[in-house]
Amino acid sequence: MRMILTVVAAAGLLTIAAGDAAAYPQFQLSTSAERCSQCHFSPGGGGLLNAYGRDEAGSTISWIDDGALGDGRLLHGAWTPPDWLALGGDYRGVVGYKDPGPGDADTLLFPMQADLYVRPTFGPISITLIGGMRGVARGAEAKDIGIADRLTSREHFVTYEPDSGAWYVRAGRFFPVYGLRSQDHTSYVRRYLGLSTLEEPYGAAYGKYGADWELHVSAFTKPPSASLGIGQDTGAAVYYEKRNEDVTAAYGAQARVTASSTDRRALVGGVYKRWLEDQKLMVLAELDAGAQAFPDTTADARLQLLGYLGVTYMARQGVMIGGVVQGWDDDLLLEQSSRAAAELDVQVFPFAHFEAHLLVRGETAGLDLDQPGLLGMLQLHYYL
Amino acid sequence: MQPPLLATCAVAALAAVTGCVDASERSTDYAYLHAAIIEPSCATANCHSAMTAQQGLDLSTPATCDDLVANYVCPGAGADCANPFGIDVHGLLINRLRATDGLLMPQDGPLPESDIQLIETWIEEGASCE
Repeated sequence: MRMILTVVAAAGLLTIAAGDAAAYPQFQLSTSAERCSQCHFSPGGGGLLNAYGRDEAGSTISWIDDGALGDGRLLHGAWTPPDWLALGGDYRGVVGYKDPGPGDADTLLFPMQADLYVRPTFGPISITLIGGMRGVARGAEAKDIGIADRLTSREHFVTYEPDSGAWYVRAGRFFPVYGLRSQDHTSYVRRYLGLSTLEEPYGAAYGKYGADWELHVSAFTKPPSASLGIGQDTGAAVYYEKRNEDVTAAYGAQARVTASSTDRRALVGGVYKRWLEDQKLMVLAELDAGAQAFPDTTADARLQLLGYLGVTYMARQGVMIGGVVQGWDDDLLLEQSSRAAAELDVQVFPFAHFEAHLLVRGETAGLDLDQPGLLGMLQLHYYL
Repeated sequence: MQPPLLATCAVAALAAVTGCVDASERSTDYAYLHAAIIEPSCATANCHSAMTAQQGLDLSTPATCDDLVANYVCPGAGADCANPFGIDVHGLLINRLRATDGLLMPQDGPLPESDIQLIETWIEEGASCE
């Protein structure tokens, strides 16, 4: 009990000292989960785990899955909230090394995420609140930002979902479902598609689940106050996913349009997820093509392309070793405008609530191989 | 073609299909620079967004161009910046983008060379905020 209280106290302190979503698309199909909302309350995954997700986190995906170490429930099962209330949190700290290529290299040590989740339920209606401190990874400059200025809420929304769970509507602040939702907000599918930290817009969404498919349609606009983050421009997104008969593959099709005072953007893309049981390999791929126009300037419209391919080897229960190649070109017809990265990820889930994630990424801008950037980062993650 | 192979080809294509547009034909309207380069690369949530405004610099809208010019393109010359290279060899902004003094912006990684060159051209043409 003392250990649990210590962990809870540390989590509370972190909450007042450091934002990021925590979804693991590798676990869809490779475990018995067919879709994100099977383990998460949020339709698009990320954030608070439901009872099934907590059970899976303590057993199927952890190295040690028995006894107290295998208890994925809130506070390791020491206290159970009433049925109408779900609570949780995500806490991440980082140590690492960064050499951006040109410029000075630097060591990293910062709290990356400290979020508390509260989700009361009233029949078919639930309210999801995520509150915490936005992360600051800017060394000495971080000292200039007071605690009150760092308090924020990345997501807060009301959901109506009937008992059947066949459909939902929600309104508030959340990420519209689009593409692979990696827990890494710096992955290109998030960083360059407006899905990075504190880019959640306000909006409304409708989703429907079939036996082997799901559909999510969202309309959104920027947050009403700059203190809430940058959000996405006004627009709409649609995501449709179909799984094969034996639930080892999923195919997604998606589109998004946005408009701001200075530009118009349209994106179409596809997502592919494949679990190869014999090889213990999970394949995640996304391809998006876009066009961006600047109507009030003399600039021409530009064509854009994003590609992501990740292969994760499930070395054993609780251990994932992955490789990712990703590329982004924000003006396909222009020389030296693309970015590319290759990445190695080793993720260990020793037992319920804990994760260690080693990430090593090499990156180039404009395909300048003379000065590649290098990032090495060890994340320690605890979920409440 | 299998979808993973398609994605791999797409990643490789990023290196192969570029180069059809002459960089000198790119617009130097600040509204374009802002929407195409500055907002997505610099005005991110924890950097120069209105919320964070690191070093007091908010780059979230084109309207903040004057601050950028006055403080980082040609400091001491106000917003009238016809010849910034005559005041400061590169200007603070370019120093940061090229990490001339060791400090790189954006801190996560450099802008592509084509974007840095466009910003240099914008400065050489007078760094107009119009």
